[in-house]
Amino acid sequence: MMALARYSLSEALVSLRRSWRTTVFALVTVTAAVFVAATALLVSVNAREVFARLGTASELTVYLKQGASESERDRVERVLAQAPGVTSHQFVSSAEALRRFVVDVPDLASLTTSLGENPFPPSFEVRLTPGPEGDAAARTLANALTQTGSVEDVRYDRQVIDRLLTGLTVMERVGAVLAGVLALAAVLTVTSVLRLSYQTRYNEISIMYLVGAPPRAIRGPFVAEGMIQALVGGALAIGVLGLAFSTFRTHYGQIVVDAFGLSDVLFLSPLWILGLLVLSALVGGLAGLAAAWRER
Amino acid sequence: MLAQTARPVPALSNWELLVYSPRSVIEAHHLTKDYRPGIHALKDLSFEVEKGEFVFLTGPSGAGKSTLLRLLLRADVPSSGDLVVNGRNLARLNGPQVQAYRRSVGFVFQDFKLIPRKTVYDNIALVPRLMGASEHQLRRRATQALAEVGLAERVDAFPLELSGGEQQRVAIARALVSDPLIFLADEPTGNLDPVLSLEVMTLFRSINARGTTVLIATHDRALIRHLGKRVITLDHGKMVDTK
Repeated sequence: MMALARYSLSEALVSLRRSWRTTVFALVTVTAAVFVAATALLVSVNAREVFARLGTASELTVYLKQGASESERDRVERVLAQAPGVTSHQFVSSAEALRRFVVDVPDLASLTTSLGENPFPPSFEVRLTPGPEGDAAARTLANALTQTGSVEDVRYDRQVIDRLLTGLTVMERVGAVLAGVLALAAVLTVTSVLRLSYQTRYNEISIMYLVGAPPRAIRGPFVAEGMIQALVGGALAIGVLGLAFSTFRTHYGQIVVDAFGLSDVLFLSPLWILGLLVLSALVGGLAGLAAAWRER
Repeated sequence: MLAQTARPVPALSNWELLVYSPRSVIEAHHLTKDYRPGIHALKDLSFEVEKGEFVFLTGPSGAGKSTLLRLLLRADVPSSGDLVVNGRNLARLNGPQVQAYRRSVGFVFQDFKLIPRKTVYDNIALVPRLMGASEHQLRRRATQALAEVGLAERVDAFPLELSGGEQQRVAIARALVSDPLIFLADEPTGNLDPVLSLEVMTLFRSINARGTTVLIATHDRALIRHLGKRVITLDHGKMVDTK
């Protein structure tokens, strides 16, 4: 087995050197395919991290009807106090809402005076238990609050996150399809390049068959060549992505961290990188096997 | 003897067991090969070659010599009939068994079939090396095989640096290195001048003297007469003489 591996590797290296132009062509295609797949993965990993952070800070905002009475406010508060999944709640009066607006958006503060009356309804800010149980409880609570008749609207940031997650999932699928199409193109390119190499060495291969070389020794160099091409292409793609990521983090990393409350922008974990490289090598090996397949 | 991967001999059918004689190393029974319907390359050919025999296969062009050797190399299968070599019906071998069978047979081609980008040593050592033979064993056997064919000093040469006769002798050394039971050659002197042809034939005779069965396809009647061995004569795919 070792003799076969040594032979396959040395023959593959000879072939790669001999047909370096077509090898470069195949390498570029593989690099592009793995780059797209790895980029999609990188965006997905970071987006999921952002959503995970947002998810742990879930809140409900319950807007009471304008001019809601004291008893109506108490009724809503009782519902909140008894609801499971609520960790805390705080009443925000119309006046407090107006004050916050003036502080947070001073440029528009003059607008509120020109209206003549306070446009902000009283509300409750409700903090929910993080996690899936909190999500379910929040949905039930939103329904219960609406049924009191004193509530104008319930704003539930989890819904926004859910919609964004759905969007991300769609984007991930589109990315996967795109990466798949490019991977297929890369496989076909590697297979074609190796098949060309096979045809170039046809006489030699025929001699090997005639003198009794085992089929695995004839296919082995092509499998090794495909694996090397895919592995080098994959490593190049990860390297280029690493450089691009490093540049991005230097210039925009802090902005992203501040905007989403992340501890840092993440690169692909070593396990992901290893997985991508192993997958690339396996696919390259299969392409080599397909290129050298011949029944005698 | 170089290390070889032992492959189990395929089980013989009852018919094969009846006809298989341990004395015979090659048995052809009603062998027919059609490349196109009605065009027989071989027709109802039956013969036996015993262990240690030296046999010439001769006949005019198109007689079926090369077809028979292609069947013996298992590069093709008969249209009907059986070809049994060393107890194995060649038509029943699967892919890996065919390769194992070819390793057990020394075959010399008219056009040598050496790999040009490999040295003489690498050509000879290629298959045994792939089968796991140690480099020490290989070096010893290759040197011995090359010495037998008188080319010990050309071990690092490339085939294109050698003359036709030398290339043919390298091909013979390649066939010898795995110590085959049967030695087959298709027009091995077809590209050689009479002096070199005689040298190559002398080599075959010495190989046969060690107990190896030798079957050579040639149309060189002078060589056949010179060696005075058994001759199977084919014409239009049929055996017309054996003596």
